[in-house]
Amino acid sequence: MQALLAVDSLKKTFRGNWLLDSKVALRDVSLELKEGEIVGLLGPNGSGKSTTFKCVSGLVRPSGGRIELFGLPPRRRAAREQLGFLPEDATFPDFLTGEEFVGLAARLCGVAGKDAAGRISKVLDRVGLHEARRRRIRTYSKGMAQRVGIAQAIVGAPKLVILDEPMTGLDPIGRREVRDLIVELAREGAGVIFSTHVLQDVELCCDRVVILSDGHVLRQGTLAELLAGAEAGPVEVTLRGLDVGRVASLKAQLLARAGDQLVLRAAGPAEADVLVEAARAMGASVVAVNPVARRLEDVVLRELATSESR
Amino acid sequence: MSATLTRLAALGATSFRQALRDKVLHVLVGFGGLMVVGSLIISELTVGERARIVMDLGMTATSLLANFVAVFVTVGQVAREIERRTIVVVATKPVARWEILVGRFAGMGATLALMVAVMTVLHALMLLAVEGYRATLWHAALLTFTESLLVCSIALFLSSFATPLPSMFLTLGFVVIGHTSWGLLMLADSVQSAAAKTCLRVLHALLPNLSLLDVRQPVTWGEPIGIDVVGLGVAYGLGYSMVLLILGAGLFSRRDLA
Repeated sequence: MQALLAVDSLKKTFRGNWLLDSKVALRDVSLELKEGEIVGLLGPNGSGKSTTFKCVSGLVRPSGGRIELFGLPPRRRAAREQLGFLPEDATFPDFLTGEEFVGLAARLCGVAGKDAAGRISKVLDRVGLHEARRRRIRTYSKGMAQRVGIAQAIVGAPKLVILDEPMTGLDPIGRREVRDLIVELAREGAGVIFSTHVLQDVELCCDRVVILSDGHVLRQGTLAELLAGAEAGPVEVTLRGLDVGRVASLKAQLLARAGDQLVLRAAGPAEADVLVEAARAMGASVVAVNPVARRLEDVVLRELATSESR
Repeated sequence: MSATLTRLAALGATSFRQALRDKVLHVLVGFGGLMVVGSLIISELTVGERARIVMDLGMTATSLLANFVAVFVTVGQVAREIERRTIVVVATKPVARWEILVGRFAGMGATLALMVAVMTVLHALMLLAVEGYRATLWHAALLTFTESLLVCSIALFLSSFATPLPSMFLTLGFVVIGHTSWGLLMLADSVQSAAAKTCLRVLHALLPNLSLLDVRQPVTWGEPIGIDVVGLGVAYGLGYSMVLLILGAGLFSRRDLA
């Protein structure tokens, strides 16, 4: 399957007015996106997520490396025919209504004639802006502006969708709706790549994750690969009949107390074995032993910490 | 309609809509309209020169208004949109950078045409009221429109690489220079050095010569305006604008929209 997007050793240095002002934004970024795939781009502020998207969408010219959108360089007009892009902190033409703005985006994507009105209406409905479609964008809340931004990105039925922080400004319901929309787009065959600081959103809908730091890729892989490579996580042990005063002598953290039951957390499986043995020796019975699932947050934080310590 | 024309029409229509909803345009049009209507009151103060005063003030108001709109609204539509990053959404669509500039030019052209037409109709009504109407008023209006297109293309050219404030001041500077560049030829005639003469003449040829588009004086004095004068002015204005748009498109296509 041909990659919709292929980025190889991408570099970008922003030159200021003086040589001293230059800033290296991207050192070495390589990634790929295939049809129907959802990729989450993660990293701290200033790691190069937005610059990567700007290079990929043709807004800025890379200083080195190669980018191909559908096999073409992104500065070529034809390369962007199947691209939908939502910029970070976007400001939209606020003198237009939502409907006019999405209509403009549709016509620029070649959606015209009888199909256009239906498509615009459907897309606005899909992002939950049908009621507000005839209001000027300047009267929209931040969440509504974000939705109209997503609408303009998808109105051309693009095969590649790039969303730079699409969840910004959205309430929990809005976030869930955008996640569902991303999954739907992928199910319809589009490749979606988005950046976010909310790792839960990535865990819930991404097939693959790319972690950026200081302009280069720290790690990338499927969610399962990233989590499998992680060290074993903590284990929660529920005990009955143990005096709470004796918890201090065990190498565990007291998490909760309900009736005669105590929930303790051991640092790992080995520590949990020791805890269970010790608790039984004290006359307590073991109700449950549950490993706590490793979360993406742990992986990302560990990768970033390792990167900083190098 | 080809895909390129569809995109240009969409961009032009949006630019036109934006201009019509721009408060700067409303204020300027209000001011221009007041000047035209006010010319009727001012002309009451003169003896036997009413028609000439109304003619002169009306054409000056239309010209000033068209040039101010061409500067302020055009810079607002491109340089300010680049600064505010509103242009990013359009630039990532399957649209060539030159199409963005030409679309803006088309939209601003439609705005300026509408505005000059409305002002000239109002002016013509004032002239009818003082029995001073002349058909050459429309020749002057066409040249004023051409001048404003040229000014618009200067603003677009500068906006393609500069930030809003320098774009605005430089465009205004070019308008002033364009109306006084004939002075360079006079200077060339008076200097002794052949090199200086050549430099001044080249500079005169390169800078916009807006006096070619200014027929207010002969129209005011009731002199006939030949079709050759109008044709030359329109051809010069459009040709100069096209060159600036091509240069601006070249610069804009290389610009990072970070």
